[in-house]
Amino acid sequence: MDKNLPLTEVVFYILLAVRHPNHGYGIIQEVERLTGGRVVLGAGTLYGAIQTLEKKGWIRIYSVDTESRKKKEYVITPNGEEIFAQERARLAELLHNAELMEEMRPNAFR
Amino acid sequence: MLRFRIYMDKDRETAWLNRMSEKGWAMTRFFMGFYWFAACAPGEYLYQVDFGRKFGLVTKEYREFMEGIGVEIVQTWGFWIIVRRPASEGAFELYTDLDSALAHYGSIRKMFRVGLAVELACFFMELWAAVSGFAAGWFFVCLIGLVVAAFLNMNMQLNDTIAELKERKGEPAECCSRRVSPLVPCGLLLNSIALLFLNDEAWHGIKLGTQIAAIVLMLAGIVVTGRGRKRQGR
Repeated sequence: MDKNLPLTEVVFYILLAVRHPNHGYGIIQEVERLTGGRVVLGAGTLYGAIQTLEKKGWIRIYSVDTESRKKKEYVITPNGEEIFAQERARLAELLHNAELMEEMRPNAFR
Repeated sequence: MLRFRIYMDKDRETAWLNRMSEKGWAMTRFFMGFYWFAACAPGEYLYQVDFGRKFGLVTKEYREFMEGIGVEIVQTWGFWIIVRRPASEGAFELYTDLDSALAHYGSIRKMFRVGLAVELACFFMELWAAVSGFAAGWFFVCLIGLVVAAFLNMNMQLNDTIAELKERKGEPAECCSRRVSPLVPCGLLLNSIALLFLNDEAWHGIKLGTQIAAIVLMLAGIVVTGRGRKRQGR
């Protein structure tokens, strides 16, 4: 399996948030909304992660709005999509196998 | 308003800046230990101190990114970047997961390690100069000795912070040091006072006594530090 997996929660949610073009503020907001406020991306955390993901080629700059506020938008690359798909398969396996717990303790989940 | 403070610990500096903001003083500028403040609504801003990758400047990318999420860069100083955001935008943290916090404190520790090595080299050079007859050398020995102690203290404190973060992450802690006891810098300070001000022949006895007290303080400091380490190691 890819040595990049498993993804950290931060990377997982950033990739998800840039499935469509999104800027820094938008990423923070979307991740917060998706997790019900559980995952809040700090400014430094997000900046460092974006730099790393850009270097790895998992996300790229989508557009630079030079006129109004300088807001850089990022979007996932095919490489990033591939990694995300692998992570999703891994998580699906986890969830699937987790069901075995119900066999062991028949009454526990009812 | 102008205040003079020397902070090595960025977490304490952050806490102080936020306390000032709460009192209605927003920091606007920093130079050589001097902090400039402008009046603001009490608690108007939340401050944070970041650690950059380049000395004395922030990249255009960093600036644009921070501006894009409503963060204002107030001042850069060496590797340090003081930033703020209006409190109305909600809680303001820079590093919110263990990995990025570890990387952050790791690069700060790297700087303090290099700093410690440089200061130690200066310390021994001055000591050599002083022993070989350069009288003013002793002054610098004590001065640099204090800086060495402060840097050592920061290194140990950062070791603690990093060990704690690693523990929370489930990784084995690499070492378990504690901070240097404040007795050590106190001893160094006393020693430097003795060397600086008690040079008159008539004061000889007092000078000797002060220096012995200083040595005792320093030794006690070393013992306390050592004990603290053992206790935590258990």
